[in-house]
Amino acid sequence: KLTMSKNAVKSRHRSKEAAILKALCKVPVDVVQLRKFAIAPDGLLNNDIRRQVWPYLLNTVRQELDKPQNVRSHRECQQVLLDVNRSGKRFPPDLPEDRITELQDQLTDLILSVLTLHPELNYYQGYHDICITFLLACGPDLSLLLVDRLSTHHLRDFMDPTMNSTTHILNYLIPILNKSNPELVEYIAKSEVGTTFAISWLITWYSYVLRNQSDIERLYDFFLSCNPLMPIYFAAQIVLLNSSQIMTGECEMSRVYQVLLQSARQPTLPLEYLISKSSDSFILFPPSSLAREAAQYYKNNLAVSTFCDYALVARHETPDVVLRRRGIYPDDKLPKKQEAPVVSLKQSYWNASRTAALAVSGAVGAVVVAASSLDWLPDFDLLVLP
Amino acid sequence: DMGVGKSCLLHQFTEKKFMADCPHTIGVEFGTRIIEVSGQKIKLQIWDTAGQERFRAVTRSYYRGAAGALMVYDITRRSTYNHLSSWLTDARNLTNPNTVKFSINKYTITGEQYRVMKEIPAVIWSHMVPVQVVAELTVSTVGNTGTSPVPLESSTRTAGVLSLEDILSLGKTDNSSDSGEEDVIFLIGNKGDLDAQRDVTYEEAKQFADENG
Repeated sequence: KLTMSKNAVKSRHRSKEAAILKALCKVPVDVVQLRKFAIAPDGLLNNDIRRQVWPYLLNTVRQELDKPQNVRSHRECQQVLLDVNRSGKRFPPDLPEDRITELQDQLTDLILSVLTLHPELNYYQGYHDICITFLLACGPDLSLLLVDRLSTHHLRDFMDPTMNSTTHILNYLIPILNKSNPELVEYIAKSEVGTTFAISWLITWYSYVLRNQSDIERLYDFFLSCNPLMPIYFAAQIVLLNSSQIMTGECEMSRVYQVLLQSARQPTLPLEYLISKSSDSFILFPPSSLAREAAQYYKNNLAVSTFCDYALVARHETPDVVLRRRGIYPDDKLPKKQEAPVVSLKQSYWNASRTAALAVSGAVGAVVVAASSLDWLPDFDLLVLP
Repeated sequence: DMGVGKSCLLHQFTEKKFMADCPHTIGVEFGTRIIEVSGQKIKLQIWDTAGQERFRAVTRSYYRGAAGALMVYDITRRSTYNHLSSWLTDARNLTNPNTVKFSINKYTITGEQYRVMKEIPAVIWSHMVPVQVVAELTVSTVGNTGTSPVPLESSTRTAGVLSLEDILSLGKTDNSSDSGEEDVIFLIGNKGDLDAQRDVTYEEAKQFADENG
């Protein structure tokens, strides 16, 4: 039986691979289709495919970058070296030591190159975790193109001079949780645990907490195809998955913090299930429908709200035409009744703006759309939240 | 500051093992150890904060309610020592001033100073049980040498296992603490085995500790 199911998986992967290659051969390349494949179970399957598809997901195809010179004289060089030099555990254990040294050298150059190309970007601890993922999957040259694009888009807010934007994005977690499990949110609030436990998840795209490089790569397939806020939706699903453990025991900050902190580190984390649930939750509760609650939480809990909530929301909100409810889990218990109006509103809005969205989804998708969504988002926001 | 060995110290305290290639900390991590003191079991919680400056805004909220603090610098990097006063300011300002009378007690601890330290007639322990019960704090090496810490007694080098129980016994003779409301801050000069690359002397670190109470 086991052999049979293994064979079934193999043949499914073979046909998926063929379909991906077909989408790549289309003129023009079918990027929407590639996104679907990247989100669907098992993602892009292997790094040969990733090296071909990721550039389309980030719209770096046929782009060229002049490699900057003298990157080691960058002001952050010492700091980057400190982190790179102790990053050994992130590399596959079977790699010979001199290969790891070589990769670490490439890693330093990769990071400093992007920082040199974009003086407005600030290095943060954890950024190098993301860079390692790309380096291992795509090699140094392609990684520079991809990480360069990623840094000025998906990761841009994390690379501000301060963490204000990052903290704000973290607060989206609470309203997402609240839609599915208000009791849990009440418990978390009572424990005063905050949202810091998820900061490493968010700013490293989970490469800091997942042990397995192939899991990280599969998750990147998903995130690269989605709205930059998707890692937060994913975080919410991890928390929801562990809700009973969180709520069993004393409602005390350090205990709850520890449970939450460790919840993403379980070796048996059901990635595909979480990806599916995150997609569902994004469709049902798009960022615009959460913005107000997130802002409220931010104000209540931090009191130093120097950040323009509205601008952030507008920047991140996107009509992602690819993301659809995958519905591969029959036991899916989404509260359909309650969300129905939101979905229909969203859907109808999407239909109206679909042409525009499709036109740009061939570009960086989510992120590029965002710039053009500044105009229409506010109205939509009001529509959904009377 | 980043890379001084905070997480490595915590790991040794909770796991009793040296961790080579100890990775960076993002945000705040957390470790516990249950220790028995005078027949009472006490759960010690240690919050391990990220060292990079930009995380400070995030980690600050975890100072609240602390019974004590360990401030760590790297004896081979002067910049990490120079930043101590700003960390100290945070530690003073962010713990709860209403319930805690904050007094700074001092130790610059590296393996080599172990014996010296025992002779310091210091003002240390009051009733800070959670800190008193730190049974042993291994001052270790991280990074360059990659060597494991060696108990002081068996080592001619400076890395050593430091028994804080010895400090505890010092504390028992201390009669200058009055109210039992004092927090304790340790100053730890880490990476004592890298003495050849030493950039901060014990004397100046001790002076810093003295100047700050």
